[in-house]
This record gives sequence, C-alpha cells and structure tokens, in this order.
Amino acid sequence: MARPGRRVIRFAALVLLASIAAFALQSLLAGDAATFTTAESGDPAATAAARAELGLDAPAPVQFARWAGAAIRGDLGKSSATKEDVVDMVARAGRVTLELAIAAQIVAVIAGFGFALLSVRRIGGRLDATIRALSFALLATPGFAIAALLLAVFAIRLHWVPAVGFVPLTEDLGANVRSMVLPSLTLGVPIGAAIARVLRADLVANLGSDHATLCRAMGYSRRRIVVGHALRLSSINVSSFIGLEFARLLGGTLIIEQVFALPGLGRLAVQSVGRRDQPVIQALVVIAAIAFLTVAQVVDALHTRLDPRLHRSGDYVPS
Amino acid sequence: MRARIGSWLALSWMALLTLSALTASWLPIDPNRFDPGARLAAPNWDHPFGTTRLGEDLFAQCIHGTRVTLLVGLGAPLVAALIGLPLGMSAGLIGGRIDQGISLLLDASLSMPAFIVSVVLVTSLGATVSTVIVVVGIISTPFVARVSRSATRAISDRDFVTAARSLGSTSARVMWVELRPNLTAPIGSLLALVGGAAVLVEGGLSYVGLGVPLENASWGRLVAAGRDELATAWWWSLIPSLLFFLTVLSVNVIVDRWQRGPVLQVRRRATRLIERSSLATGRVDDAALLVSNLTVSIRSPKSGFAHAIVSNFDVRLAPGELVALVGPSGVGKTTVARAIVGALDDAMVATGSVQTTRTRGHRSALIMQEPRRSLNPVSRVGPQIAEAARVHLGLSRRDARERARHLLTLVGIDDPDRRMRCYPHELSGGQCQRVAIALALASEPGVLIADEPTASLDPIATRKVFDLFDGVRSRTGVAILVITHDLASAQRRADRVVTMS
Repeated sequence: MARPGRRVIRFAALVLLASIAAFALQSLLAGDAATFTTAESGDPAATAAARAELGLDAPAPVQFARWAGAAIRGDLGKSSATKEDVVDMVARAGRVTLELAIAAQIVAVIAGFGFALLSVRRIGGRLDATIRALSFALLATPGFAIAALLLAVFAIRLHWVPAVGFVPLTEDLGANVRSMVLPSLTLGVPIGAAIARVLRADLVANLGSDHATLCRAMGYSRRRIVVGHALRLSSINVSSFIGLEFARLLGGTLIIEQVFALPGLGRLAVQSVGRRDQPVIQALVVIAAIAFLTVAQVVDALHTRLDPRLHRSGDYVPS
Repeated sequence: MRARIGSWLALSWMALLTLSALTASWLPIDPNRFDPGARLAAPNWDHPFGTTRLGEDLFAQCIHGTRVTLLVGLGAPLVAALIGLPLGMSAGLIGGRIDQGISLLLDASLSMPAFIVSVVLVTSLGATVSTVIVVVGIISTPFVARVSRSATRAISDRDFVTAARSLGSTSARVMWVELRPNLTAPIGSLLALVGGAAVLVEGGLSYVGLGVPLENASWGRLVAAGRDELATAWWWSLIPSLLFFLTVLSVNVIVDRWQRGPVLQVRRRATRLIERSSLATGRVDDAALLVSNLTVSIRSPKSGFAHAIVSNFDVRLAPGELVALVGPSGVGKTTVARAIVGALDDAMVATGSVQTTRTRGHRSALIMQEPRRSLNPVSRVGPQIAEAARVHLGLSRRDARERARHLLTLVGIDDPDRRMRCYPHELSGGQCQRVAIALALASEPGVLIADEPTASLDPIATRKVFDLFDGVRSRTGVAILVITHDLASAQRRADRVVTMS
C-alpha cells in the first residue's frame, strides 16, 4: 500500500497513459470526421477546410495537448457528427449504463452469494455438484444467447416485460424497472456464477482451515462458522472480484445494450465509431478508464479494511 | 468417475471441431448453395440443423464456421502469449524500475474499456479474421503478462531458484530450466481460458456486425442473422449459440480438470462397515473427562471399509488434573484430541463414548498446535474471546467483554485493554498462545485439550507454558490433557503420563 501522495501521482500517470492510448486509438480510425462529413461533395478543398475547422490539421502532439488542456477544465469538445457537447452526450448515455451496471451487479451478488452459501451446506454433496455444473454452464453461455432465450420466453411468449427499449428513471419508475429486468438478468447471472465459484473456493478453503477446526471444537453451530467466520474471511477476494467486474461493466456493455436497444455508453461507442466521431470516442475511452481506475482504488481501500493483515506499520506516520 | 467422462466428452468435442475445421472444404456440403424449396425448414434428415431464410443449409454453414472459431480460439491466445509472456516474465525477473514501468503500462491498458477498444481497432484495421485474432489477442495480453509476472516473481523467490543462481547459473538458464515447467500450469490454463473468451468475443463482434467479413461464415454471424426469426425459426439462432456453449464449456471443463490434477480413481463403494459416527457424548459426575472405548476409523472410498487409526482408547481425568498423553508420531494423539472436542475430519468416524463433567459452559475446549493459525486473522482478539462467552454462557456483550478482559489477565497478558484491540498478527507467538488459552477457557469447559503446546519451544518457554497451565487449573479447576513429544517435561510436570502405542 503506497503512501497517499504516491497514489495520486500513480493515478494521474495512469490516466495520462490511458488518454494518450485513447488519442492514438481514435486517430487510427481511417477517414476522420472531416472526410466523413464532406464525403458527398468529393471536393478536396472542402475536406481541408473542414479539417482545419476541427483542428485536425495540426500535428498529433499539438492536437493531444489542446484536447488535454480543455479536458482538464472539464471541456471534452463537441461531437463532430451532431455538434452536441460531448460531456452532455456521455452523461446521458452514462446514466443508462450506470443504472444497468448497478442493477446487474445486484443480481450477480445475490445469485453469487446465494449459490455459494448453498454449495457449502454440504461440500461435495449433490446440491454442490449441481450448482457447480450450473455455474460452469452459465459461464460458457454467450451473453447474446442468454438474451435471446430470455427475450423469447419473457417478452415474446409471456409479455411480462417489454422486449427492447428504455424508459428513463425520471420519467416512469415502473416502466424503467421493467425495461431493466431482462438486461440486468442477462448481464448479472453469468457474473453471479463467477462470483459463486470464487466465493465457494474460498469458503471451502476457510472451512478446512485450523481456525474452522477450532470453531467446531468450540461447539459453534455450522451456521455461525459459515456466516460469522468463513464468510467474513472469504469476502476479501470476492469483493475485489465484484469491484473489478463492476468497473468492467462501466466500460460499456456493448452487446447487451445493442440487443435490448438501451441508449448506453456501448451503443454510443458503436454509433460514434460508425460516424468517425473522434471526440466522443476519445472521451468514452478516457472516462471509462478513469471510472475503472477509481473503482480499483476503492477496491484497494476496501481490501485493506477487510484484511487487517495488510496494514503495515510503515504506512503510519508517527506523530 | 463422472469427472472423467466429462473431460473425455470435452476432449472429444474439441477433436470433432478440429476435424470439421480441417475437412470442411472436402466435405460434400456447400454453405452457399441455397435450396429455394426448403426455406426456413426445421431440422430434418436432409438438413440436420435446418435451413435459413434463403434455404441455405445451416449444418454446412456451422461446419464452415468452425474454421473461424478455431482460428480465433487458437490465434488470439498465441498473440497474447507472444507479447504477454516476455513482458511479464522480464518484469518479474528483472524487477526494479523495469518492473514498475511495465506494471504501469499493464495497469493503464487494463483500465481501457476492452469492447470499445476492439470495436475501434476492428473498424480501423478492417474486419478480417486476422484482425479479430490480433485485436482479441492484444486485449488479452495484459492478463497474460500479469499472471506470468506474478508467477515468475513467486517462483524466483523460491529456494530452488536461489539455489540455482548461487550455483552460478546465468539468468537465462535459470529462466528456461527452472521457471518454464513451473509456469506451464498457470499460463497454460489462462491461455486456454483466453481462447474460450476469444471465441465469445468474436461471436459478440460478429453479432453486432463488426466481426469477420460476410464471406467467412462464422457462428456469431449465424446467431445474428437468425435473431429476428427467433419466434419462427429457433434453430437458426439457437443451434450456433449451442455450438458456442458446448465449445466454451469444453474448454472450461478441460482447464478445470487440468488445474485440479490427476483424478483419484474412485470405484463403486462396497459395503460400508460404519455408516457414520456413533460416538456417545454425555455428562459424568465424578470425573472431568471420561473417554472409554474410543475408536476412530478413516473411511476409505476405495474399498468402502474403514481403517482404524485409534482403537479402544480409554482415559480418565479428575477435575483439576493435568495428564500428559505421549506416544510416537502417527499413533493418533491429535485424532484423539479432535474426537474428544468433536472436531474430526469429515472422512473420519468415531465410536465409543466421551463424557465430560457437568459445567455451565461447553463440554471441552481445544488449544491447537499453531495458536496463531487457529485464531481468526481478521477479527480482534477481544471480540473473539467474548464471542465464545456469549455463545456458551449467554452473557451480554458488555459482560462478555469483561470476561475476556478477566481471562486475558488470568493467562498473564499485560495491558489486556490494549491487547483486546489487537489482531492475531499483531501479537507475538507466545501472546497468541496465551490468547488461545484464554479463548479455550472462555466457554468454561470442564476439560482443556492442548495439542503439542510446547512443540517448537525452548526449555524456558516450555516451563512457562506448564507454569501457566498450573496457574489456570488451580484458579479455575479445569482439567488439562496435554499432548506432547517431550517425555521429560511430561514426567516432571504432569500428574500422570498416559502412553499411546
């Protein structure tokens, strides 16, 4: 665990590296926005003018410096396709993705902890084997297949929920929840299977430890040993896993958003790549990276709280 | 047994896929020939997987799509390994600034949103099979680099590498001869999982229309093509999805099998002699502990018979008595201790009877050989002791805390208020042992079983432990059964010595 000062520097360095990579990435897109918007006219002069207007004629380091200077002040530029402010576009799509990520992670945590705790009721028993096989199967199922099955059953056959589309939270709470049910199940259940596997492995290890033997010798109930002792000890790895999965979801849930027509970050990314909207792509990559790094920091801090063995005396400045 | 069948099935499936990918061009099936008379036909004899809207044979398309799947599944891990392995291994071996630099780069690339990056890359480099392979490979590189870095670091700290280095081996030789066999398992299984994930990523990219070009039939494209006909022609989308499922499942099963090592051959169980423990426990008036006819057997799944490791053991402890249990290693002393406190392994069965004196609290308590490892590492010691008092004596939180403080003083811990707030790792080995004794006493047992409490101690520390036991039994009246190898101390300090042989 580094000192706070070093952590801030490292964080800033990582954001800078990710921004440079994002810049390199978006400049790879052959046919920049200027050529794209002036393609019909076919006039090279018009293209050049458009390039100059968008600042695309400057050398790459200058372009990056301009972008970074504005970005620090909270200005991510304007979309070259719609002329809309990038911050607004990302914020609008980000709300959808954030809601989806949270809903999916709630599903995943409930399913994962539930399955893991059921598994260790009798380690090696029939229920354990069934859950293991089930989680294996879920981890091997492609997301679009889960989506297709859920859609076929719940939307097309039973009409319980709408097939596609999104209603903002602020507009109609009930409709919003209904439009989120299938996407969050599709995303959350496989993550839940992964959580169950991670947690079960740690629970089994901790239930076989010296400490668990001592707990049994002290006559504690199985429930107390599992929930009060083993679960607390096993929560360390799984909490990192949950945090990083959440961070990954924030980076865009492309296929699910595409299948269910949710106007989130993933769809915005595909749209923007299609129309060579470089400012939006740059912003999306950098914001996703910052979100990931922030979650990773939180996970790290949580880790230290959950596992007191990670406190090292060297970190404390003597007063 | 079932696990073996599973991995054989998985391996056969992968072999079948490889075979179809290799022979697809020579098979008498044509993915592009359409049969207008059989549009959207359900699976039948002529078209085992059914047909598409144009009457194309889905079976032929799936077989041809196998090539893309296998190419991506093998190519992407190869790319990831070619970049990631040298990067991670050099970071792990060289260390220092180079390690810091590489780790920073890896963390930065891990923070990038993988799907957006791959969409941009596939779009800008052109959607071909090789682009998809390279892109998925690059995305997986940081994971491979990270795992190889930590595996290298973990191994390079180990004795055999230090030994090889001190014998004058150069770094490169150390790397190849010593590290390679030890890296194979973690990296190999990770690469296999990358292959499985790559197949799904290709599917996802093709599904949103960004994967391989149209002329390459790929499973992802087939799923995407059929998704609008899900209600009318389920096979179009679902059969290719099923192929994805079976393939990734097979990879996972094989990796899982590999990670767990060789399977013990489990034969069908013969008649079992002992179904379950029938150890009688009860209370007795005139002794602290009365063990009679204790037999502990270990169940052998192979024969179904139980093999006795302790036979007809008897011991009796009077209240306040300290008895030493000695005997050669492997004679079952620890097993006796576990049987008395009721914490045998699941594979063991016990018969006979264990009776303990009537007390307010729990019948017995155990002090394990390694006290620090037996304590809860993430919980402060005060609450741990208090928990035992709350559970067995029904004390309130405040009373339990008071009792914990009292017990810590009893076992000779200085400044108990401060120590109660410590975690086990913040205490010395001797302090941990005292805490373990306090914890054992917290449930007010009639008898305390101490398993090798002096095993790794010098004579002075050993004397202190026995002094402590004497203090505890004179003040609480608890009987103590000490398991030890130290015959001399046992004879000097115990009221009685019981020998197991």
